Amino acid sequence: MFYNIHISGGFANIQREYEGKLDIDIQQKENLKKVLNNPNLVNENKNLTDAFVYDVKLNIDGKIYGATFNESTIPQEIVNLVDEIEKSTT
Amino acid sequence: MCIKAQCSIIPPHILEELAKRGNTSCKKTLNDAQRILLKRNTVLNNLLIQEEKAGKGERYIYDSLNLYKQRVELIRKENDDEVDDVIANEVYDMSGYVKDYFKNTFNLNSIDDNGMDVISNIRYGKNYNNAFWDGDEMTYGEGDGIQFKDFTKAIDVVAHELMHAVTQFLANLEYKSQPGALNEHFSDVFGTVVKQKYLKQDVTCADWLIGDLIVTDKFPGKAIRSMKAPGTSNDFDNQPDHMDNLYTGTDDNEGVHINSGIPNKAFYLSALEIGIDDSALIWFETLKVLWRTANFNDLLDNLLKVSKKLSDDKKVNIKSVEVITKSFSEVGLAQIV
Ligand SMILES: [Zn+2]
Repeated sequence: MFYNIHISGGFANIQREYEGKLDIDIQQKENLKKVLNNPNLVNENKNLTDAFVYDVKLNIDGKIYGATFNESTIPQEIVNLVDEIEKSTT
Repeated sequence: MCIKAQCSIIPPHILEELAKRGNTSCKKTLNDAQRILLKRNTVLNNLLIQEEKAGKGERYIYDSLNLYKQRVELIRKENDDEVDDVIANEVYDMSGYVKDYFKNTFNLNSIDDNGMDVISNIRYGKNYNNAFWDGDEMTYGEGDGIQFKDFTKAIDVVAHELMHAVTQFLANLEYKSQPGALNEHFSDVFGTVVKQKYLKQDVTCADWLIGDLIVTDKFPGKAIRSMKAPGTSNDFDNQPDHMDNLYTGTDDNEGVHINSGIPNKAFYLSALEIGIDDSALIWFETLKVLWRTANFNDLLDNLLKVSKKLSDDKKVNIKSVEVITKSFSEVGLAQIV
């Protein structure tokens, strides 16, 4: 899977960009496809200020999936993915 | 005139237009409607409807214990003695200072003008480089200790976050594009006003920096933002100080922390001429007449109307209109007539 994750916003608005390739298992692929195909924006907190904004684009088996989240809408699957990528880059 | 019963059946875009033309009743209805809708969604989730009563504006400090959760452990509440936790005591004192500033200066009853409790969460997450307001409470990370210190270490950060609450309840500026940049602008304005009061600084000797106390020596810059010189506070600072360089991309909710540099610079220029107190009064009274989708031109238009009225009433410097006009002209904004 290829990823491009752009994080902006937050009190300091210091942007972070992650781009690369990550090997993931079939189950993780399916979970990520699911949350990106149907981002749950219903519970978006419109009063949230200074939160991070996550612009996520994934290329899974040649197909592009993308969505934009903030800290009130980001699914756990994406939180885990960002953690994994941040750990692998530090 | 627009009575509440009439406003409630008028579509939001018409209410916004009426609010824009100075109808404060429609503006209030519009803001109330948005808030009620949000509240109703929450309430429906909880299957519980509660009447909103005036609160006592009490402070509560919770420790997140490095979890990504709020209200994990209550460590200090209003009227409690100091606790054995420096950060908790500092946040308690600083949020009290900010609340007192708004009470003593503008007679605001806590952050929502209805006695809302002031709830703060400290030590949120692990190495979390951020602080935010979520509509109900403040949350502060400890910082990574490499480039950022604890976000509770600065009065301007605490005041900035609390001001987001005030803005939410007074104008409900939506958090994207120019209205979002105004939301950020008002937080920086009162973050810096409170900082100057707290440090007993004068406008001419103040540094006009935002977040200088939360960055470490390893951070590539001296602060997060500069109201005096937007775009110069650190290597990543991309704030413009003129409409010619307005950011039009999608990052950061369409540049809310970026384009705020433009009105920030205008506020700095105005405050240098008419002083911080007159500027604060004019900006605060203007916030009360702004609405959800107000943009930079709407800000200027209403600042001029408010400053004219306040100077006619001899409450602010007689040159306010002239000074504000000139300050905004220097950042590329002129009143549309
Ligand atoms: Zn903010």
